[in-house]
Amino acid sequence: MGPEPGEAREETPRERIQRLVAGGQMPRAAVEQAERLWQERLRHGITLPNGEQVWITLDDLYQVIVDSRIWRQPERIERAIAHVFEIRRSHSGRRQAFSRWTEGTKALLASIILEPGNRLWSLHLIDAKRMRRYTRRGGEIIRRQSERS
Amino acid sequence: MLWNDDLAGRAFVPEPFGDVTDNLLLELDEHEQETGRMVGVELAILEFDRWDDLPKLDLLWQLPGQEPLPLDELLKREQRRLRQEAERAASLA
Repeated sequence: MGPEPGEAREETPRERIQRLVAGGQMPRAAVEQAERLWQERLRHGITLPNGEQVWITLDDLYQVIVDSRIWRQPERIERAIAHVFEIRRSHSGRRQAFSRWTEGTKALLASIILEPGNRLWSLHLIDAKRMRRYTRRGGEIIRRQSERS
Repeated sequence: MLWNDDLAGRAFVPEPFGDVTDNLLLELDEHEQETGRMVGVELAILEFDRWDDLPKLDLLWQLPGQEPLPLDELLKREQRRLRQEAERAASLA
């Protein structure tokens, strides 16, 4: 059912991206590059280091690429998921994963929220300070990969 | 998600304020330093109930076609609307 007359309707992630591209706030080429990456590599799921699959819909992609550090390099979505080193229990059946990888001399950290069923809810690049703030919230660790593995 | 469209497409970092799903999204400049501006607010709105954790901001927020409101009022109104929508959808299923 659609919205009642006069009632607000939530803009979908796809509609928002289309609006931003039309308004010149995001480059069309960057969105098309991310869509190609999704078609070729993301839509069938990305494997976590523990063997679980993370599922990413096209709307999930549109939600994640709004950060310029991701729309400029959408392959970071795959890298972040593939380099998860810790998973914590969160509320409502969600889980929070932390990821760490390097690009040249640059070390990157990401926080990933997974819905029950492993659908991607969010993926953010973070810094060490934010990671400490998240971990202080104390979600139970349900998987941690050792530094050497 | 609630976005500040004036800063759409910029880099940002999440600043958690409630559960790990609840974040202010803070703009970063090209050197990845915080600018003090807010790109958006992310939270699991259907279940969010930690209103006391929501930071008090001097900004008003506005959805298209609606009046500007403090963040907590706007989010509470959206939460009511989305919960009603969810109930309607569930009753039709």
